[in-house]
Amino acid sequence: MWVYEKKLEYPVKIKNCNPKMAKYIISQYGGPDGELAASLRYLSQRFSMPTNEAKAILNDIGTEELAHLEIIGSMVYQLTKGATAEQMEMAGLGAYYTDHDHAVYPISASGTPFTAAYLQSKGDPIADLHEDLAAEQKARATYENLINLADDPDVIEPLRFLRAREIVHFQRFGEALRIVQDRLGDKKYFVKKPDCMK
Amino acid sequence: MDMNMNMDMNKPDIWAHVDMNRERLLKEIMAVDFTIIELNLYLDTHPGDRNALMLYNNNVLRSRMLRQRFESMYGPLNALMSTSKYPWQWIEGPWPWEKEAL
Amino acid sequence: MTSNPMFDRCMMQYYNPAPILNPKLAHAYVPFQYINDICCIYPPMKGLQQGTIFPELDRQYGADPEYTVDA
Repeated sequence: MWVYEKKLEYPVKIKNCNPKMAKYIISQYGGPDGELAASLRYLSQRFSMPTNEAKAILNDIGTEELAHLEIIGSMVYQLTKGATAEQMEMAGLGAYYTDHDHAVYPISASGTPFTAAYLQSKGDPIADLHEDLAAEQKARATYENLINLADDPDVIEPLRFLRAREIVHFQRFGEALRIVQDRLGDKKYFVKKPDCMK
Repeated sequence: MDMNMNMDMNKPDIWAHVDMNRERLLKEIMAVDFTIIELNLYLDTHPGDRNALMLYNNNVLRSRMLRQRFESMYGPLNALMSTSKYPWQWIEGPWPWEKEAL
Repeated sequence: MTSNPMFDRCMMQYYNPAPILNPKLAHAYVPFQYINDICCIYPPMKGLQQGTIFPELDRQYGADPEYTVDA
């Protein structure tokens, strides 16, 4: 189960309103390589993992991604707080403002609402862990793009933190993959047997 | 780079007499909790690493101590484990996504 | 960069991790990380700022050539 801690994993205190930046950063909330996709992916895949180490790492990184989701949500909230309708429209958020006002809603930077199509939970541990490795790299690359778009240090600092986390998560998934590869190489252990062998 | 701060775990609490304000104390807790998270992930794939385990346990104890101090002055941090004064403190702001949280 | 031998030993891990024994075709391998020395991790505040407590996993955008490509 989950317990909530009344603090962010990394502090977010953005002094300057900037709805244009919010339009881009929201992609890491509800976009294809964002934190919501990451947390649902890992928390769904953990059920069918074969070793304790893999279950633990998917569980714990999935939990941390929820904390990152909160950081991104806080950034979008603070970047749009106090913006007038006109400012939202000039930032390209006129359509978003129409349906959501100043709320935080899971969409991508191009306005596509979040979909489970962004993630896969294949049940094959090797396939799942490779997907997780790719997901971390895509998230890292997206954060680098966002860092390039930003110029406010209050915005760049949390983005740098989140980018650094993706590199560490990649390393952990890589280690989990090694552990699973070794376990599956052990001839007594099967995840899947073809029907002709049963 | 100060590599030796982790050796302070066993020294007496040097902040005991200092009135840390809310922001500073909360950032300190964030920093120690982050170390705990990192070691948690490392231990998930390295369950046999004694040094890392010792570091993890030390940081958990330090976090508990800092939290106790924070909660006695500024209210509960944890939904299931913190006690509350009257009236129910959990609902009080600032909430973490607000600028006033720091 | 720095003449701290402990730091250099941590960074060696990034460039020379433990070798992968008996690699197989059609498999991908990520080298294991090991903490050589418990003094080798960043203090909590620096760890939070950098995004990791492990110097060998601290690859900052703009500072690390592998992650900083001229588009």
